[in-house]
Amino acid sequence: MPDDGEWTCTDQAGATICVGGERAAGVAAAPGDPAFICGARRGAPSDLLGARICVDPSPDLPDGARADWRCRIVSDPSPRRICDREPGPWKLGAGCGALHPCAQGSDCVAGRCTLSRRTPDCWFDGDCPNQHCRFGSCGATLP
Amino acid sequence: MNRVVAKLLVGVAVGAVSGCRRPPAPSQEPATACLQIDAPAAPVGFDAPFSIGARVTCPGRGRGRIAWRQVAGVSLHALVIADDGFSLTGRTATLAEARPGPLPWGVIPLSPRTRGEATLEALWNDGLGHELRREIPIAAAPRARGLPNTAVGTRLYLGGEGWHLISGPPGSAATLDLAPRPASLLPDATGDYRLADAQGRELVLRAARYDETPLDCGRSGCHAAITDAAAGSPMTTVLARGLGPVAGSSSPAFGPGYPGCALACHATGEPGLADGGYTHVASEMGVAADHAVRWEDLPRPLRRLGGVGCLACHGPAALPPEAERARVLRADVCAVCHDAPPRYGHVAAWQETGMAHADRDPRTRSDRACARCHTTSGFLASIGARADRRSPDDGDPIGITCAACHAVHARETSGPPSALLRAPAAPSLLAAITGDPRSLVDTRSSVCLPCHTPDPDAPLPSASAAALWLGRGGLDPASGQPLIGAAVHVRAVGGCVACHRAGPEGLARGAGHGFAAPPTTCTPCHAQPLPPSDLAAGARRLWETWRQVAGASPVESAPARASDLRGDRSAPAHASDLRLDRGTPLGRAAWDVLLVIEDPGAAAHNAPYARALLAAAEPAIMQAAARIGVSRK
Repeated sequence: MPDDGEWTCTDQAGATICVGGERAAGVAAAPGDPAFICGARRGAPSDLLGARICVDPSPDLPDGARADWRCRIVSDPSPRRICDREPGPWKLGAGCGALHPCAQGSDCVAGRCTLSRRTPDCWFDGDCPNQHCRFGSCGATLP
Repeated sequence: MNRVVAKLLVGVAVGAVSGCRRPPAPSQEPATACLQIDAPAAPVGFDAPFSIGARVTCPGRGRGRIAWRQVAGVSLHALVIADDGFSLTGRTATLAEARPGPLPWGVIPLSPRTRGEATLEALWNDGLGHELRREIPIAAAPRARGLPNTAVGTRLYLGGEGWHLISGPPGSAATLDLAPRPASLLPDATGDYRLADAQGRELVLRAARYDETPLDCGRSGCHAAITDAAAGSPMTTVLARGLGPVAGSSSPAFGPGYPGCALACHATGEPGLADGGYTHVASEMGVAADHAVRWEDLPRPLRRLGGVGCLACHGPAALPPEAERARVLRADVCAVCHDAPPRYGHVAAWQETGMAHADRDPRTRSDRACARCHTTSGFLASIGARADRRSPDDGDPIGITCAACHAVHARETSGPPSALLRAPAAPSLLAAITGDPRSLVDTRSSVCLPCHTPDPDAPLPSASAAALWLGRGGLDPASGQPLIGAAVHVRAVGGCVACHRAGPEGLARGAGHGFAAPPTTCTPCHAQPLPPSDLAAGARRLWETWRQVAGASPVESAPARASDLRGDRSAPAHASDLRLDRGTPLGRAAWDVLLVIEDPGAAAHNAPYARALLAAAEPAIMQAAARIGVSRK
């Protein structure tokens, strides 16, 4: 989690994306997790999901081999991240090339799928007028 | 039975005791873990058997013997020591012994003092000249706030008769334990438990683990302001501050050994129970809960449970049913930590005060004018601290509780510790004084002033101690102008609590919540005992004369029902239905006399001013009496 507050998180091709940011009530301050890059969610979302988006492009994995795991985050009853071994060529950190494209929103750099560092601003496509939301950022234009 | 092995000399694991006792004297033995004591870590029940076993773990060490004695808490029963002290059995106190008196309906609040907590001391002598002394806590029941939302894994005891469980949440196999009495329930799954008593009165308990309860209280539209303030509250930050390193030392700020047993009150949850509280989650994570780790280095789940956060007082799960929400105002909520004498005696001392019983007369709870100063909810509403005027339970008095004086959600300000005392606006009668930046009124007295100062617009003056102390409140009978006197004791450091700070003996902390002011309070400044005061008697005489005058003279004295004022002190004068007409000299004179009568400590608070009030009132009353032939008694 980005900090001690209230977050809803998901795994997207090996990155952890979180929305929320409501401060944990009645909890003393502590620094957030520096692995996360955070930004304000686009617009002024009136839903209960929250107003901040954070992305950890390289979350911890059981053995560090990013392309070998598929993780999911369950929120109920309390947040837990569960990882199952499931190799996939399109994930962040996986090898890439003309025959092995990366997930949309990530880039193939030096033969590896990577995520360019940018301030995240969306949780889903609805936050991005005429664009897709990928890895927490509005980017690819809708066809 | 849930048991824990306490490795003596290594440090007793966080046990079932909530009020930390002073650490025992250092052992003569160098630190080697040679004795293990196996004792119950979780509460064992009221009037229930328990056993403790011990064994020497180092080969070649002498076994010796262990001597036992109870050093704290309610008396344990049937203690049997066998096997040279390596086996001890006993029985916990009954609920009636631990918590004498009638039981409230619903969830029975239990504090460290009333939950059947006891501490046994083991003194091991290995027969080779080495001794080791350790303390073993035993408890009958978990602490309980008396609120209907509670933690799973935490047994609740129920006041009332004929309880039966109507329904429980999915997955629950919990049943009501009807014997021994009182009935109890151990919630085992998240959700609502509907119960009803013999009369069909329902109680809905809401249970969840602490760590599974969202901490989103500060969402916009909910409690954003409180959440902002609470972030800086010393309650919130107590564990973070305590774990903070001391410069040049590896010790935590609150001293070596911290947090240790302080976790019971510096974190959320009941140690020893599977409630999703701090020590339980630490155990699940394989982290030693009682070891000093920097706050920043604690795992996120533990930080969310560290400190006295929302759930520590309001309980886990969900918001309780609306009718039950004001129960959080009860002192029972604070008592789970502040009622652990002899170390923490705040609640025990407070229970001896008149404030603890301020609302025992039903009228004080139903009449809005009375509720302003006789009920916690009424007082908080009157100072704008809380909109809801409802008392926790219409049929159950709770007194003026902790929350009336202490703003528990408030941010601690810079400067000396303020104990989170509220600082409400000064009563109108005193606004000119307390609003003056040169005011000498100690801020620690601010919260006392609203209820110990008469309302100038009220029909009768009430509780006038603060007004007299500050030399205000009187009216010149002839002109109606304010009578202003010197405030002879206003420089006392602390204001009211400079003198009103005594309570039961033997309490390390909190005795001042007895708010007594024995005569010895005066001796530091008044070396000679003060002569007996005739102020009260003088005021009474004048009042009796005024009553005769008022009753016989309907023209000049507006009050026609002077007999409503009882002379037998069975109720304070201000509880009368009488209305004084302060438009007349006689009405103003009565106001002055009642100001003195309404302050039983007038002679100590400000004798010169009290005398001045009576002196001003006397001519008006006596002239009226002379006109109608009433003589002064």
